[in-house]
Amino acid sequence: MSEQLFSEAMDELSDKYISEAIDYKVKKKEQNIILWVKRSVVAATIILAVGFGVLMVGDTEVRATVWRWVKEVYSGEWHKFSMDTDVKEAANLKYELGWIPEGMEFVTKFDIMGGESFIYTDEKELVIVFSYSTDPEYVFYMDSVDNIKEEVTINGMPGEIFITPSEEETNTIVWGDASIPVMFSFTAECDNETMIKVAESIKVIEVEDEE
Amino acid sequence: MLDEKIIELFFERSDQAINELDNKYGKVLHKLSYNILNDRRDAEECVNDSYLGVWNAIPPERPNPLLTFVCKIVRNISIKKYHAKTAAKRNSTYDVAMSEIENYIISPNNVEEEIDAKELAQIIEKFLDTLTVENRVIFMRRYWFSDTYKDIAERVGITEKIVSMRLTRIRKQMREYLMSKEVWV
Repeated sequence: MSEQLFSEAMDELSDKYISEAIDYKVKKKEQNIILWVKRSVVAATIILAVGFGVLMVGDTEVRATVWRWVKEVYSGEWHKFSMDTDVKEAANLKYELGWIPEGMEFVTKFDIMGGESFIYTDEKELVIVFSYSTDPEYVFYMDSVDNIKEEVTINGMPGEIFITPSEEETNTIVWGDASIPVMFSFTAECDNETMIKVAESIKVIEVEDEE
Repeated sequence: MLDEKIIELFFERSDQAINELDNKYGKVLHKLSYNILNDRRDAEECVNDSYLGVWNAIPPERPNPLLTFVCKIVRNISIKKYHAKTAAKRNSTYDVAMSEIENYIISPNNVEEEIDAKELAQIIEKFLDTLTVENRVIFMRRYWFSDTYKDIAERVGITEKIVSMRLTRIRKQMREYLMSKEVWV
């Protein structure tokens, strides 16, 4: 088949496909990318932290309950993590990293739904991002194309580490405990051991009494 | 102005029809043509020719949606012009998109295809129906509209990298689909 035949065939496609492509525009609230970190800017991989009910466009291909979390895979590329919990309210807990790799410095932090995200960087502009949320409706999205997944345990909490085969992307650990509830994510261009060491260093820094 | 009103102006044979069409969709149409031709002047010419085509088509046609109808005319005229300029250096987004698809559609055995464009279009449509809406839009925006990855990423709300990876997967899927339909023999 030649390119020309392909192009001519494209000309013959039903109007409905053309109209669909013209009309399609993702709704703003569906673009809840809070952070996209690339090496060229600051490093690679990403964290997507979005509110409950805000779904990426695409059919759900897999649904599985993982440690009382609901994980869904969108088009084989996006993992969505949410907490399948009976707890209705966010826990009044705050967390921070107790240890970061040498050379990394705190840059900024910002609020996310029921929690916070922290960004650290170093002289090479590599970046690590740590996020947590105690909101039972928190949803975490992760770009997981071609990543290798391994199960891990962080401070007794089950989780998954996603190792990217690309040097231009970073690895991510997602773990948590739906009974609190809390969900953590940590993204960095580090080896597995360092990733887990950072994740295990997380500590509670504040516990507020609701009364 | 509503499409219906623009069409009414065409029916009334009012010159204002083309002005209104250009006001509403001119930018989109120029971009489509430019993506194919990579030349602003040529794109301008094609869009103007397309307006004449629309003028001649309406009436009797009463296209709905209007933009789809006009886009098809613009693409058709632009591709004709593109082929007429074979000696010119090709570096448009259309070229890049076609070179991307080349490895996925060229028969490995160089078997003479007997399929025609309409038949192939029907198979491609069936393949498109297997995709998610988002992936279908990505495919169409790339191989029909010749949009850049950046444009697609903005439209769909994902990164350029994801667009690239999605397109690679879609091309592979399409190749497999076409082979399963014996398009190669």
